[in-house]
Amino acid sequence: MFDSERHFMQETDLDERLKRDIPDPPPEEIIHQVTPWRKAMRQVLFGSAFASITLHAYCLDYILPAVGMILSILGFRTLRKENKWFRTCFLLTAVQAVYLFVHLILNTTILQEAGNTSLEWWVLVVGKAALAFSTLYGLWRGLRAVQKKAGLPPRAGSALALLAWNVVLYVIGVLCPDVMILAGVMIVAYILIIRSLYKLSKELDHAGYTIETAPVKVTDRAAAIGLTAVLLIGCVCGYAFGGSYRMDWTPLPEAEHQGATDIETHLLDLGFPKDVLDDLQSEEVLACKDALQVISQTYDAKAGYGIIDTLSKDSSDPNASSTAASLRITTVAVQLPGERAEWRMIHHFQWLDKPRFYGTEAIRIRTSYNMENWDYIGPASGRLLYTKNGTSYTALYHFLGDQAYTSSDMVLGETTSTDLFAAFSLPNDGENQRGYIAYTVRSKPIASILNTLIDYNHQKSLLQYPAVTAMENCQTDVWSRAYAFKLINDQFLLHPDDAYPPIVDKADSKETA
Amino acid sequence: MREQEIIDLLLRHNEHGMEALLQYYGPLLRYMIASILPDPQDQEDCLSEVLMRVWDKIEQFDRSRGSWNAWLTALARNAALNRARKAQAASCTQTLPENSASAEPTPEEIVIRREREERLRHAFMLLSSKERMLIYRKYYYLQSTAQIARELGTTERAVEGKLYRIKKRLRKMLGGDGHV
Repeated sequence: MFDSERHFMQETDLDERLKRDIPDPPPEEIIHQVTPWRKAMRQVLFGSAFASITLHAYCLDYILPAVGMILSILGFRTLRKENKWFRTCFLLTAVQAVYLFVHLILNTTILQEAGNTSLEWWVLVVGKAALAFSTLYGLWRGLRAVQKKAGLPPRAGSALALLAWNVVLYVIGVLCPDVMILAGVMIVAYILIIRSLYKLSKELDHAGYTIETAPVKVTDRAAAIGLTAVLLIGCVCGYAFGGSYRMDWTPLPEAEHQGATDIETHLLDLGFPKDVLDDLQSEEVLACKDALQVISQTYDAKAGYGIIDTLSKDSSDPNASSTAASLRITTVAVQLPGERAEWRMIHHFQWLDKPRFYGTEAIRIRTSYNMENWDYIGPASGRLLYTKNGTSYTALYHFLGDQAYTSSDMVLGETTSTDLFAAFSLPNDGENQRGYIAYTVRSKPIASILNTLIDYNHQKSLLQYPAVTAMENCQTDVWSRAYAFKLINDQFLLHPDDAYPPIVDKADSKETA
Repeated sequence: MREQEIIDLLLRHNEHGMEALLQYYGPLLRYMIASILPDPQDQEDCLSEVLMRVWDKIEQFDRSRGSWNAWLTALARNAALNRARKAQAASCTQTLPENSASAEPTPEEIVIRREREERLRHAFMLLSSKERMLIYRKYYYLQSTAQIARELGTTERAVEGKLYRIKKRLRKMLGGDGHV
């Protein structure tokens, strides 16, 4: 650096020097960048492109529309002062963003499980479509207005094509969502439209010099960070507070089984597991009065990682004892007196160690393929329990009852089933979380095996998007199940030889007498 | 109409070339002029002057020295600065620097200026693309901070802060001692 130069810098104002000596003409990149139009229009274009994309991988069907919505808001925010169409687009995009963000946040909760009625669903679909179409229409009119203002012939066919593409997509999506044959055509059309819009935007660079931009109080970056932060905080709150059922836990009354001591003693004599008996409501114990026989089966299942785990849980299995058991499932069948074989079935579960409960749990009871020979006598009953600081607490299930559902299978196709479900949440601040479900089955005259499958769905992770309940997860096919859940299966078989001899013996003995 | 078609028409001094120039490049020229000349009448007069200059000097356009847009931008800027300088000289309220863009420099000044330009060009190369663009907006296009903020979707304060930091870096690169 020359001394004179240093002196110059000290003596003169840098502003003046920059004005005077700045390289002239400016580099091409500067010429392209310095325009009120380009940045805002690119934001709108990329925003519209992202918002229209649905890629079912890595949550991109949620991330891309959110990014697209933020970009569109920023773009229209800059352009909103130019004409009424862009101003309308800005307002409509803001409404869409609110809708999308609420939807994305609700997806982290099980509140969306509440579901919409058919009418509400249609209102939402139509409303969302109307907003999207209106925005694209506004974009088309806004682009034409800019061209007109610059004295250029108004042409913005590609924006109109994007509107038409969206209309077709909505119609296909609503009326015939399974039509895959058009998918390729629609994707190609979409790419061509976006390319055309990009070219239009470049052509409009000349007209874009005429537009009037709106001042902002928050920078684009701050606005984008703020919107993203709102979304993330909402999602974190959703995961933290919206992932579980509200359970009404109350302390378990002491000496609950007073007055049923004789029945308890009788059941214990018949081999009723004491742990299970202690957890039953007194009405349940009373229902087992005059029990003829008790058959019980206990499986200890390990709830580690993996989606489906069907372990060899028989206590007689030497391998089972070497694994750390987490969940114990005990099935007790109590035969009750009657003309036909009538059994009180009790499925009891108990967490032996202290797993982390992240959201919801569910139990599904399937009495498979032989129900034509057994009558299910509902309704089912049951309760949940856990212990904290030596005090036991109890609550009813969030849901307990029969539920019809449709699932698809690669082999069987779409099937509709009705099974017994229990949906619930368990607290983390206690121990020995447990519960049971009880119901009655009665055999029909033809003897047949009763095959009962018990599926316990345990949520092993908080991270799942969109959030589904364990019960919903139970109802989906194997390949669609969420990674956040672990399914533990158990099976209980009641053979005719077990079921009928007491009845048959009694009848025979009466006849003989 | 394509850029080359307009240039060809202008080179043939075809009046359709002027019409096309005004239609397609009028917004760019107006945009350039408006940030230097606030008065709408001055802007229109200046635009006419620029169009005449293009008509007269179209043969001087050399694509190897810069794009068509860059050439038009430079013409518009110089015309607007000349007009602004004349207006200020006429009002005698303020004098523009003698060696502003359109002033006629002496040979010695030209050499010194080239040296300075070269240093500045070198310093500019060390700036990021966004930083260069900001400096050009402020000191070449002579846009107000408010206009820059509006067009970049940011606040005036943010623009001022960025400009301050860039100038601090430039001053350091150009050998200044940390103050303007």
